[in-house]
Amino acid sequence: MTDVTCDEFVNQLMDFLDDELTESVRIAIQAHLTICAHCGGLMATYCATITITRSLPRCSGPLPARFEEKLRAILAALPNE
Amino acid sequence: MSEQQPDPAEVLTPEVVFRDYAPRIYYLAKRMLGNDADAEDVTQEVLLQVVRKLHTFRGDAALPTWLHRVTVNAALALREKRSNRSRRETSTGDDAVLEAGNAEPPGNIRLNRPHPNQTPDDIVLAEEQRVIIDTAMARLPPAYRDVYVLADVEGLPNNEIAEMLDMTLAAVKSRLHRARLQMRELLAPHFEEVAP
Repeated sequence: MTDVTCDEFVNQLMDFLDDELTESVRIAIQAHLTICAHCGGLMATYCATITITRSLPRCSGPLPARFEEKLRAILAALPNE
Repeated sequence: MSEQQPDPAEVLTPEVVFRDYAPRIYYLAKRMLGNDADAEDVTQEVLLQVVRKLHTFRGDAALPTWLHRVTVNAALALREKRSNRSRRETSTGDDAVLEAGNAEPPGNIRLNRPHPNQTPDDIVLAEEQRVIIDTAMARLPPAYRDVYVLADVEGLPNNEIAEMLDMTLAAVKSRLHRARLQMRELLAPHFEEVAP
């Protein structure tokens, strides 16, 4: 594989980051990155998006108070087994 | 689906399940469905299921995985139900039921990469960032949002997501890539330091 277009770069970006490309394609992508600032910036923000999303707490806090109260009442009303 | 691992030696009671899992179920459902009311319906349904089946769990090693699956299934089923109702109501002229995702993300806040040793100011910033990211995720098309939430928030491997959503691995990867590209677009205004 020789030259890579910007569209091709975008299409291959996830596989590139996951190291799932053949060596020739990977080298072509790396070559594209050396000459295309736009795709370099796109890759930087793509990676930042992943990093920041992965830093999110899976649980963003306690349950809303009104809902917790309702759930507790439902659980309390269940018959004991 | 755990951040703080529950104590495996602790006896599973409805109260323990409620304390350790209800908020996680709620926030996973909310992220998938994009609104509070549907997240509450799913949480209630899943919690009742788990409490009724509590006697089948010997210790809770299998519980988080099972809860993930049941929560995802309940969220997908509820969305399907809403979607069917929406189609019926639209066909009779009632277009009041809208898919979540039209809210604009807050502006003028820059996203910073996470770092350890947070100060109180950092914690406020982290909360503002959470709101930005959650708002952006709510704007993704549901099919992309499901994969994005499960992969990049919940940290599930792609093959597990494929099984959970009954999709091929290639389809999961394709949707995840498109979802990340859309999230990047939505968050790009906040990435001043790294934007092209």
